[in-house]
Amino acid sequence: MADLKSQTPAQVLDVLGRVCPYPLVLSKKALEKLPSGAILKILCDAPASAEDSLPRFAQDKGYPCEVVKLDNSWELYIQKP
Amino acid sequence: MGTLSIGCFSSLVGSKSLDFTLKLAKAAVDKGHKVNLWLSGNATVVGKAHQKHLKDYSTGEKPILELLEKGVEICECEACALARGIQKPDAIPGIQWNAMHWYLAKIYSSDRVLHIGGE
Amino acid sequence: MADVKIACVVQRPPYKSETSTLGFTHAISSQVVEMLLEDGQNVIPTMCMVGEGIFNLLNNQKAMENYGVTSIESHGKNALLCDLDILVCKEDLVTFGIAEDRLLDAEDMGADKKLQIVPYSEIQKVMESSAHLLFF
Repeated sequence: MADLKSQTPAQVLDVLGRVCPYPLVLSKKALEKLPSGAILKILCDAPASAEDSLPRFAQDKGYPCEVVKLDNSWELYIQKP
Repeated sequence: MGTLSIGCFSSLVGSKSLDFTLKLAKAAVDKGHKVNLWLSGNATVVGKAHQKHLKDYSTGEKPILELLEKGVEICECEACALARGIQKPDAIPGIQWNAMHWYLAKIYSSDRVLHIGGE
Repeated sequence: MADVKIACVVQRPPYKSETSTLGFTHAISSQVVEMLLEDGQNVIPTMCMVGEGIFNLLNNQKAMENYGVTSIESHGKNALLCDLDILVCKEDLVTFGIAEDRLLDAEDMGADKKLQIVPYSEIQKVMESSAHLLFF
């Protein structure tokens, strides 16, 4: 699988400080607008979103996804096929 | 038997709405119904462990543990809990932590939904 | 069973409590509930703003500046951006003397949906045709 985090994202979505439903809803909206092959980088500090709902959404859609845990937040990389 | 989902938004020792919610959930599960309980807003405080039961005030931990034992699914709104300084390790064991689409998903398959409280 | 319709009836005024905010965010979370359901299943909310609930829809709210929290206006705009139906009771607008141009819209965010100002009878129909009612 391609190393998504080493590639340049098409867009960085900052949802730090936002909680459900916004991390997932805003990510979904952002991905809808991106062209095929583009990577969305998401900055998130809500555990339920970063560890559960965002990766699960990506998996359901068949979008490659990588999650990087930082000290108090996460970086998620989701690629639109 | 049916499925009842209750969304509770009322706090402990704030009004009796939370007490009512817990008693209603128990009555429903004792009758054989499937019960789901969503705790959001101020209700998230009842999901915190190590509550002291004072006779003169409402208590939540013991009723919650009884409901979990009876198979009631109880879920705490993570956002509302974190906003109130409640971390996941502080929670009563057995309570799920999720986001509000958990409640909507339970509503989908419920025969009845009761939305209780909120100031 | 394909879709389940719910009505989120918002009666509480803004900022006195977080109840009306939770009404918006619960409705918006319907955008992602399908991942917890089977294929083809969904929950479709309609927001019904009645009584003092209509005050949540006033434009030019300054909650971020004054309290450091996302304004309810912002939640309302996001709800429209997510193509949610928000029905506003016409009679209550008249009762409280609120002109329609004092209400929010999300055109600047690219939303296609607008608030729908309707007689209460239309809100009643939505409530009657919904599987469940959630009062905020």
